[in-house]
Amino acid sequence: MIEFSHINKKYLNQLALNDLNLTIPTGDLFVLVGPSGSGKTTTLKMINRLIEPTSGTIKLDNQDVTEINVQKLRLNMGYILQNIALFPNLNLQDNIAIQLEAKHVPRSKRVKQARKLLDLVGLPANEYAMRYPRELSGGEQQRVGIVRGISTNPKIILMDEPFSALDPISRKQLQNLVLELHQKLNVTIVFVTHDMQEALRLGTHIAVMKDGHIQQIGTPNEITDSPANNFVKEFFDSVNIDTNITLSDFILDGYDQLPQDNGNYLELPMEATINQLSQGLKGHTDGVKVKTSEGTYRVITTNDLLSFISERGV
Amino acid sequence: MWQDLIKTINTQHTEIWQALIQHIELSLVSLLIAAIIAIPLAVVLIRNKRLAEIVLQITSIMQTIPSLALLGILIPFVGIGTVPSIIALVIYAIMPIFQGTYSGLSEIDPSLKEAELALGLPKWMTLFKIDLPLAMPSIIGGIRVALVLIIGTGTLAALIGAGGLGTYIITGIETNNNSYLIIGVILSSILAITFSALVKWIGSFSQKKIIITFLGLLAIFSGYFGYQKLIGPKNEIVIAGKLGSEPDILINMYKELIERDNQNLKVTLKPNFGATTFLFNSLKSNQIQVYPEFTGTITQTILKNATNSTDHSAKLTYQLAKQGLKKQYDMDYLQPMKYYNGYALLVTKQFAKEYNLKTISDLLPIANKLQAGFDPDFNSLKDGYPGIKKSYHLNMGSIKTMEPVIRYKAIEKGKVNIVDGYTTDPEIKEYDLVALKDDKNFFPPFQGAPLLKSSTLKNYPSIRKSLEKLSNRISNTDMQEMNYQVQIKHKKASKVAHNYLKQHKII
Repeated sequence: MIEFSHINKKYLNQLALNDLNLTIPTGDLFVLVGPSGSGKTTTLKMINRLIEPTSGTIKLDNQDVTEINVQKLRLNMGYILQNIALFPNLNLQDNIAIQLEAKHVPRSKRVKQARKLLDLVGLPANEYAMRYPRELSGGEQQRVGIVRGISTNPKIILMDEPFSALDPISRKQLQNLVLELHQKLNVTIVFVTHDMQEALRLGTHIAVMKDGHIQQIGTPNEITDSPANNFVKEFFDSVNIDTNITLSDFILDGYDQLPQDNGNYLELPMEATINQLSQGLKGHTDGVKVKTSEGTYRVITTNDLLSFISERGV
Repeated sequence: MWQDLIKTINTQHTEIWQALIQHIELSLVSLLIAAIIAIPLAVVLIRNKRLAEIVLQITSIMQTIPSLALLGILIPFVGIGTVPSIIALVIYAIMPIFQGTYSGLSEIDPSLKEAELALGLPKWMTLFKIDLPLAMPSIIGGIRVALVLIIGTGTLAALIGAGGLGTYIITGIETNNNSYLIIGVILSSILAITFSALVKWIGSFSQKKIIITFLGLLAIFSGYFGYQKLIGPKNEIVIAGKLGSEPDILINMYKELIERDNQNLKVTLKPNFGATTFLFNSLKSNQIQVYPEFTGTITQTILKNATNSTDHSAKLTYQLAKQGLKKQYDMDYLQPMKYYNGYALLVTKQFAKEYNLKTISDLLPIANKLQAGFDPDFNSLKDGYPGIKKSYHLNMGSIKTMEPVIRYKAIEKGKVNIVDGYTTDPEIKEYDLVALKDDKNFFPPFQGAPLLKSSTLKNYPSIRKSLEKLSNRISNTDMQEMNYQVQIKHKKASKVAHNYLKQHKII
C-alpha cells in the first residue's frame, strides 16, 4: 500500500501539487492520468524519491519513504521511462541485469534471470541476449525496458508514460504485455499516462489529475459512467469516437484489404462516416466495399475498424 | 643534402634512437600524469557546473602561455631537465583531456542519467559501467589532441636539457644543419601521427582493456623510473656542452679522460644542452657539474661588472675570468686549451698568396680592393668591423652583410674576397681559407677551459688532473679539423674525440 498524505510540492512559488491525498492499494494497476502539468509525473517520482515533497508524508506499507535508504528503495522498485533509456554500451542481458549487479547477485544467476525475462516478453534469449539496444525497434526496446524494471522481482513498478513515444501497434502490444505481467507477477504498478484510452484499458483504478489536484479516483467504469465533474467528463468526451472520420481516412491510413472474389460486400461511398461503416458491417460481416478514386475497389472489415479505433486512439 | 642526411643517420643512429626514446618517454609520462589529473577532475566537477567553467577557464588561460615562457617560469622553481619539461607538458595537456572528459560526460542523454538514478545504481557503478564508457570517444579525442600537442611542444624541452627530438631541431637551427633539422622534424611528426593512431586504436578497445592498458603503462613507467632511481650511480658527474659540434667533441674528451682515471666515477654527457646563460645557471644550481666555457664570454657576459673587452691579452683575460668566478660564484676555472675561438678575418689561400697576406695589417695596402661579406652582427658590433676599422685604420672597399652560411658560399663563389668567421669554423678547412693573424690583438681572446663549482672539485679532487691534461693542447687547426670531421663529415663526436686523444698521446 502506498499512501500520500497532505503532499504539497512548490516549484519557485508555483504549487505543483496541492494537498494531495491518495492511497494506492497493494496489487493494483493504478493509473495516474491527466493533461501535461497536472502533477501526475511529480506524484509518481515522489514514490522513489526522485522528487521530494515540500511538505507531507508518503508511506510504503506504513513506513515513511524518507526513513528508507534511498538507494535500497530504488533498487527494490522497477522503473520504466518514456524514453526507454536502455544503456547503449551494454548488451540487452547486461541492461536487464543491471539492478541485480548492483545488488551483487552472482553473474551466472544474473544472466539466467535476464535470459528468462527476455524469453518471457517474446524476445528469445538465444537470439537477443547479446544484442545491443540500437539493433532493436522502439517497441522491442521498451519490452527490454520493462523487463529491466522487473528483474529484481520488485513489489512496486513505476511506469512514467512508457508507451507515449511508440507507434500505435507497439503500444497496443505492450499494453497487453503490462496487463499480462500484472496478472502473472502479482505486483503493484503505478502507471502515468496522458492518454485516457490507455488509462481505461489498463487501470484497476484510475486517478484523474488536473493542476495538482485529484479530480476523481475510481474504476474505469465508475469514471466513464459517473464523471465527478465537467473536466473529467470533457476529458472523456475527447475519447468518444470522432464522427467526422470517413472511409477515405481508412483507405489513406491503410486499414483496408483487397476484395475477395466470393465476398458478400456492401458498397459505400468514400464520404461515408465511421458510424455508417459500423452499421454497414453489422449486416455484412464480410466487409464494406469502397470504390477508390482510381476506380479500383477496396474492402474494410470489422477487424480493420477495430484496429483503426484502438491504434489511432479515436 | 640527401647524402648528408643518410650519413648523419648512419653515424648518429644510436643517438637518434635515444632521442626518440627520450621523446616518447617524456610525452607518455606527461600524458599519463595529465590524464590522471584531468579525468578525475572532470568526473568530480561534472556535478558542479560553475566550478567546472572556472577550471576550464583557468586551463584555457594556461594553454595560452607561450611554451618557452612557461619553461622559463618553471626553471627557478624546479630547475632544468626532465621535471620542468614534464610539468609544462602536463599543464598543456590537461585542458584538452579535461574538456574531452567533461563534454563527454555532460553530453550523456539526461534520460540515461534519470534511469541510473531511478534504478538505484551506486555511483561507482554508473561511473565505470555507463558514464565513462559512453564518454570514452570524447575522452579519447581529448587525449589525442593532448598527445599531438605534447609531442609538438615536447621538442622545446631540449632547450632546458630534457633531451628528446628537439635536440636535433634546435641544434639544426643553431648550427644550420639541415640533416639534423629534418631528422628532428620528421621523427616528431611521425611520432605524433603514430601515437595519435595508437590512442585511437586503444580507444576502440573494451573498457576493461583500456583500463588494463592504462594501468600497464602506469606500472611500466613507475617501475622504470623507480628502477632508474634505485640503480642510479652514486658517483655521477654530469658534463654539459653548448650547442654545436665543438663543445660536443670537448665534453666527450672530458668524459673519456675522467672515466679513464677514475674507475668508480660515471660521467653523463648532455650535449647541445643550451646557450650560455642557461648552462651557467644549471651549473650554479648543480644540475650539471662541468661545462667548457670561453674566457672572453666569462669576462664579458657572466661576471658582474664585466670588463667590456677593454683588455685583449689572453693571459690577462683568463686570470680575470678565473679570479672573478672564484670570488663571485665560488667556481674553479681550470687551465685553458690552446686554441682561440674568436672572430677572425678570412680570405682564400689563393688570395692570401697573391697579396702575401698573413696578418690583418697586411690588408692595409689593398684596402680598396677588399670586397667583404660580413655577418650583420660583426658589421655592427664594437668588437667587430667598426673596431677593426678604428684599430687598424682599415677601410675596406665594399661591405655586404649576409647570413653566416651564405657568406662562406659567397667567398667560395668569388662574390666577395674577405669574410668574418670564427677561428675554429670547419668551413675554413672545407673552403680552403686562411685566418689572418690579429697582430694588434684587437679581437677579444676566447680560450676554452673547463668550468666547475669549487664544491665539485672538493668532492672529486682527481678530476682536475684529468681535465687539465688538455691544458695548452688542441690548436686552432686541430679544432677546425675535428669540427670538420663532425659537422661536415658527420662522424661521431665521441670517435673524433677519442682519435684525437690517442693520436696526441694524451691517453
